[in-house]
Amino acid sequence: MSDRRTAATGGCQCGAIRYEVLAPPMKVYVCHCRECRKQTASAFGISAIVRPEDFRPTQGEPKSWVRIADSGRRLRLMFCPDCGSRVWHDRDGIDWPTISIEGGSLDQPLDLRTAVHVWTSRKLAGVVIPEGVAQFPFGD
Amino acid sequence: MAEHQGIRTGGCQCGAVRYELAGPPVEIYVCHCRECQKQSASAFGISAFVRRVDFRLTQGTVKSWTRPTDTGRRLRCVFCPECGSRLWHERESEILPFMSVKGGSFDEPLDLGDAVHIWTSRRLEGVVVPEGTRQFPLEPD
Repeated sequence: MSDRRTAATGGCQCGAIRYEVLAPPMKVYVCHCRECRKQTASAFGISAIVRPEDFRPTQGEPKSWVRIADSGRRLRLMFCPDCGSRVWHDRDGIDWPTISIEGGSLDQPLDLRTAVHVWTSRKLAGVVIPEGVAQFPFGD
Repeated sequence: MAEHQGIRTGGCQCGAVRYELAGPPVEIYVCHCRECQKQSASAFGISAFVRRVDFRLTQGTVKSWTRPTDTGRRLRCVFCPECGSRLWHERESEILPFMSVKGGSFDEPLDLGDAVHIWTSRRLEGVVVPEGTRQFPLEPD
């Protein structure tokens, strides 16, 4: 059996929404697409990919907004109704094998040195991608 | 120097809230502090300072959350109630000549080439501050 101790904790900015993660992320993506710029109101989004069985909401009731991705998938975007911070993304209406935790919501600073950069064709001028990282001009 | 003349409209991710700018941002800050990591759910926040007189909300109703700052002031953090996207930050109790519009909410891509990086002591591993950038480990004086 895997170790079921908490590997990490996280939540929104105001603290109303809290979660814990029971295993380190399987993969971390930095996404420079326009949707991720809008959702973060910053330069890129960070997705820390975990399995649903390793993820546990522990406090608060997130609100969600559903958008249709280019792929036709229905993404369910969870955020805090009190402060607006995004906390995680999953799929609307179906079970899906992964959950995407929005990286800045983790309490422990995330190490992005091995993150995969996607949609680099949309990267803002003045954002530097570290040398040697895996990167894709569009999706992975 | 980066040109920000093309930055004239913006809004949240779902499109419920929209705004217009009569003039471009005058200064851009990239902030690596913990609060900005949480508010963006990303690596850093982007504050694009625009003149308040240049800013006009054109669509939608916003919601806000107010937090105390390290300097003892109260910061009103404005977001879309439908999708959560941050839009701008302002002081709660006084109207200043400038407001901090969140850089990723602009429709046109913002050039961060002349941005000032602050709170770089909290920078995430794997985030690169470009060479030659003005940067401060904490807040600038």
